[in-house]
Amino acid sequence: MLPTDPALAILGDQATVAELQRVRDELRLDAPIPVQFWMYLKQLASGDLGTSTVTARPVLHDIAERFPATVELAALGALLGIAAGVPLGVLAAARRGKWIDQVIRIVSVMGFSVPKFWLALMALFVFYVLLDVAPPPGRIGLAYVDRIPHRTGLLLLDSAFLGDWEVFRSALAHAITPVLIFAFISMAPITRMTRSFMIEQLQEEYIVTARVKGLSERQVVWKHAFPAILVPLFNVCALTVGVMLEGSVLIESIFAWPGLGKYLVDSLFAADLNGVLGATLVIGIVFISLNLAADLLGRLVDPRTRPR
Amino acid sequence: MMYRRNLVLSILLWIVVAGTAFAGDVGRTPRDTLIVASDLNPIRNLSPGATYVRNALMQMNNLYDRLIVSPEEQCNRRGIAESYRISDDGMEYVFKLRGGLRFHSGNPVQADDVAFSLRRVAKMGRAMTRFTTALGLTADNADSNVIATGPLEVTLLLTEPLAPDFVLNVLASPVSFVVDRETVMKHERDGDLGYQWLSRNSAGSGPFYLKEWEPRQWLIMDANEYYAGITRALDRVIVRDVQEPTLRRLLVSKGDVDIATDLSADQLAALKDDRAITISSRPAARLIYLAMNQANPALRIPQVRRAINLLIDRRRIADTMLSGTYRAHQGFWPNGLWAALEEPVYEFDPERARQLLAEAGFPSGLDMQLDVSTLYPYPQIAQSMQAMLATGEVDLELVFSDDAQNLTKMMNRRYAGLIMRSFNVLYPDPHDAVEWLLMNNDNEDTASVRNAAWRARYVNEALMGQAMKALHTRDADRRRTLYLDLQRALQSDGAISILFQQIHGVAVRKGVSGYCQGTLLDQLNYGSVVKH
Repeated sequence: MLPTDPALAILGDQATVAELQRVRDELRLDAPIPVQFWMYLKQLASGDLGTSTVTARPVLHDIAERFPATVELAALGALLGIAAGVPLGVLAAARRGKWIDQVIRIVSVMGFSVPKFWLALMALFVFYVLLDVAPPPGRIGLAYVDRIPHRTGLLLLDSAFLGDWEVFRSALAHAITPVLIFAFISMAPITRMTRSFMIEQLQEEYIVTARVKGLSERQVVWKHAFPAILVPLFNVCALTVGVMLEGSVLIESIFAWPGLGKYLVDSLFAADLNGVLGATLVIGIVFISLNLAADLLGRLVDPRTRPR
Repeated sequence: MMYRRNLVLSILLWIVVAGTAFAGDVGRTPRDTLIVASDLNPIRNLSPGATYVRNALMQMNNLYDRLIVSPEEQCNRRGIAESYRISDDGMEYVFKLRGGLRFHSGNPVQADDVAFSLRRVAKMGRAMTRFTTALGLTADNADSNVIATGPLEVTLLLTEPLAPDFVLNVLASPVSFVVDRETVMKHERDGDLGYQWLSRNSAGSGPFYLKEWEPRQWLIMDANEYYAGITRALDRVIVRDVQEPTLRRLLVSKGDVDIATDLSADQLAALKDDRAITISSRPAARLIYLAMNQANPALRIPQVRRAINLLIDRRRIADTMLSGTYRAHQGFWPNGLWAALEEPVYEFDPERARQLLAEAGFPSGLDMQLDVSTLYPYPQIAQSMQAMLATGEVDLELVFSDDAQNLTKMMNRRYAGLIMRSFNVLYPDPHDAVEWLLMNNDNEDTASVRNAAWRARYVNEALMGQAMKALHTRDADRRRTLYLDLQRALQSDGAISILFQQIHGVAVRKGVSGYCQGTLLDQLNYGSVVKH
């Protein structure tokens, strides 16, 4: 079914038939597809995602190492994206039709339309190549490879916790450009949806009542209209973070960021089936979990959405 | 108004933080550390005897010493043996080892380690086992045929009288990387002779030892304090795994790495005028060949094969499309090595090609398909070939596919006409190339040997006979003549046709000297590098 022989991809051009067969036996490639799938499911049931043919380590181990790197980028990017996107969306809605609204809408459309990989390449070109203000792609300067802390896997957190500020600075410098890209990408849908939700709320009768009562515009927007959009906003934010996980595939590859996205790409090109399946599975589980968390958080915030 | 102000303040604050962070880490490379940007992609393990992946062997050459080195050693490495003698009947080789050598564990290098290392390769049944098999060593006889006959003396017994050059050339390859027996056996698991542990660790006596290998990120080697070779100036070597050649070029031009390898022609051209960079070039023992599937009736006709060869202007393709990265070459043994064929067998001659096609029954030309990998430089070569073959009325259809797919197609013999692949010299003897490109004793689909000749369904009994004669010829000069004749004959026959030889194009920052990459692909020595 595959156009590529994984055993050949592993051993290379000059492998003997005996070696190729040994690898095929180890990977059970000659078994019928339904049998291979059943065996994989059995393995999965015991928490075993198989062994990577690239790293020769359990895929679960590889993912556990790489996932925090993706979380670091995605979390920082999401936080920034939300921190920028929500106020911008509210501002655009509150100033609907004015020039500020137009500018914000244009910026958010750009976030939707500009291809992520192009944005990442341009950022690399501008900040690293032309302006020389960004470090080379990677997660940390090579001078610090011996000092990488191994606690949570979140380099910024671990180095700050240990008080190693040189490593912290290096990690932060390497993270900034990809984080800004993530933030821009996530900001776009959040801004647009916040604006839409707010415009809808600001047209409600209770808002008219609040204004008539003499409340300031700030109170009307933030104390009355904004809480009403929290539940749908949580869902949008959760979906956006999920979408960022899929964006991580391209951005991590361009910035040589050793996260789950890059792991997936490397596994694909190396015909590492276990790696591909494992990474895809984890991304799917995370996406579902994020949506579930958003639903639960929504019920906490808005009692009306709780089941009776 | 207030939250607009807050928003602007937040953005400004973020820019200040970002600026502070940026300013901190635009550093360059430390003086005691060499940083290399290379594509480490196909490396799956670093266990001696278990891989012949070019990139792996290049790095392993810095972790291990070999029993002997080739007379064509170009990077100032010495073998563990200081001398050897061969019995009159050519069946017994006795190696006397240098005294005082140590592994990075501190253990002394002894005859037991050398014997263990060779036996290990024979018994493991992995990549390099066929090299030991070529010397007559098997899992059954390795213990009795490789013996430590003294604390610093090792004896190798052959099962048939092979050409001494051949035996020594095989032993000068990475098959004879010497490992620390004591350390390896401490980490042996389930009788694997240390294969698993050595995949990610080292136990050698080379100038460096393996500190860390993180696939897809980096490979770190630290200085071996016990190394007895030339004095080292480096404490550490970091090889960054950078798969994209554009990024490798950027890194070296910005000074974030000291050396960038495997650059394409346009990358090298872009760096030529950079005063901070020196381009180092040397012929490499890697050849690109064109295989013609003998299942295609047209390609079974010798005139058709020769016509196709006459329509490929190798020199022009090398000068224009591959400038600085490949050179035209027409012998199966690379330039820079003993017995390499220097003169061309084919010159570009469309007129003669058309005559041959007419003789073969194709007066109005013919259609042919070429399967092409998308990796550099295959697409560039293919597109040039398409234009050139058109001048001889050969309509060449190009079928592009990912490299792994292209390889799979060839391996399964599912390409319709022509296919291009490359071949790396694994040990410094022409029989290596002969084994890969010519020897095909079983052309059936069930054959256990599936080399390039098998994949092209090419069987030439006469040439195979000549090859075996050369393998058993003891006189070096006579052997050389036989291999030169064989190269002319194989190239002339045209079914497996050599097109180009790679040139190592490496970009080195000024201030870095002593970097050595020899013609043989595994001859890479960081130990002689000095940073000023």
